[in-house]
Amino acid sequence: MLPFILGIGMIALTLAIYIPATHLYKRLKWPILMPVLTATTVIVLILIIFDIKLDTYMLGGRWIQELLGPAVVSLAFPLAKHLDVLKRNIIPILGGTLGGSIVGMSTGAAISLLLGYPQDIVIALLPKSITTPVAIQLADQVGGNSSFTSLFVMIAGFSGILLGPMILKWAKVSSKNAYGIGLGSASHALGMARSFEYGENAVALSSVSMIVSAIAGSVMLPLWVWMIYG
Amino acid sequence: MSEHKERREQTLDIPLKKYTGIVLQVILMYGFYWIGNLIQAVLHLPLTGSIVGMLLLFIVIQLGWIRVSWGEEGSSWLQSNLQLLFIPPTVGIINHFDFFRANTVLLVLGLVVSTLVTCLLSAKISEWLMAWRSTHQSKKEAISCSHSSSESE
Repeated sequence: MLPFILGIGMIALTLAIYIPATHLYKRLKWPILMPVLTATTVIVLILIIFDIKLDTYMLGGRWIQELLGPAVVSLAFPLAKHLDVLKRNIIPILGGTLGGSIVGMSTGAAISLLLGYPQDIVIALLPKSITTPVAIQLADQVGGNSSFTSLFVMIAGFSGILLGPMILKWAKVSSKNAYGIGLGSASHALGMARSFEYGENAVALSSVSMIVSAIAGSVMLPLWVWMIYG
Repeated sequence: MSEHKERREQTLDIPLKKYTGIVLQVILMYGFYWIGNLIQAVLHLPLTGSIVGMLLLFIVIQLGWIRVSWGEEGSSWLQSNLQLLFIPPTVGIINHFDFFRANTVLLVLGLVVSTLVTCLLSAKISEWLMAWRSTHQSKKEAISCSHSSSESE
């Protein structure tokens, strides 16, 4: 009975911090105030100050995390809605996204191996360009450290949306649809949000690229782990 | 010329009804997640159960057994509250502060470089393929392509 009550308490604590955090973000719109960053920081501080163990927090936390599964499933609806854009651009989407995924994973692997990180960190780093719900489940499944994964995914998201458009402009990419595909496959949902600046088609292509790179990444990740660690 | 989207009349929303709908839709998606996990485990697929569930739901939508409108509210509710779902896994970092203290700069730099290379390559390859397609495919498709990529006006 006690774990159950503690679990409910932890869910309530998370909501009590998350809801004001979203209001603050909506009001100010500073990327640094994204609810996941502010709320996580506050919760971590509370756990440290009151000396609460992670296991205790996860009594409630795991029920929230459990919703990541249906959240991934729910992507089927936008995918079905944008099917016409997907069909029209199937070759550029597949080519761009798959090329990006392969390069993203190989550079990620190269860098983390070069820096000599332990296995669970290297594996956690590989799915950094995949949308968080899939990346976390993937990392869990193949022996990566999923707390690192969610942070790595966030770093990839932020660096992509802050610097990506600059790099693309510098490289003389002119098609706005290509901006959408690049941002979606490197920076997942954040990239998709940034694509709103490049028109409705770019957003649709971006969301499809995000989904395709999630699927491609789920197939490729076990292969990478097998290639690196046998 | 251009596609016209029907504008539905705004109906008055009763919040209770809306949230009951969302809960039912999330349960529906949870069901697909569960079936996806089952299929993944039985067939040993190299995908997560959630991706299998998503593909399954997508197929079912294409077959017309489930309408897009049946899940849209629940889907957008989940998508717009994704950040809440990321909090518990991110809080897990509390057990790994030592690692970050020692590695932050190089790690972040590596991640940024890798991400930018990914972004650049995806965009370049897709742009190149779009150009290739518009020179090699039928005129009709080339028009629809240039229509979709010329929003500069």
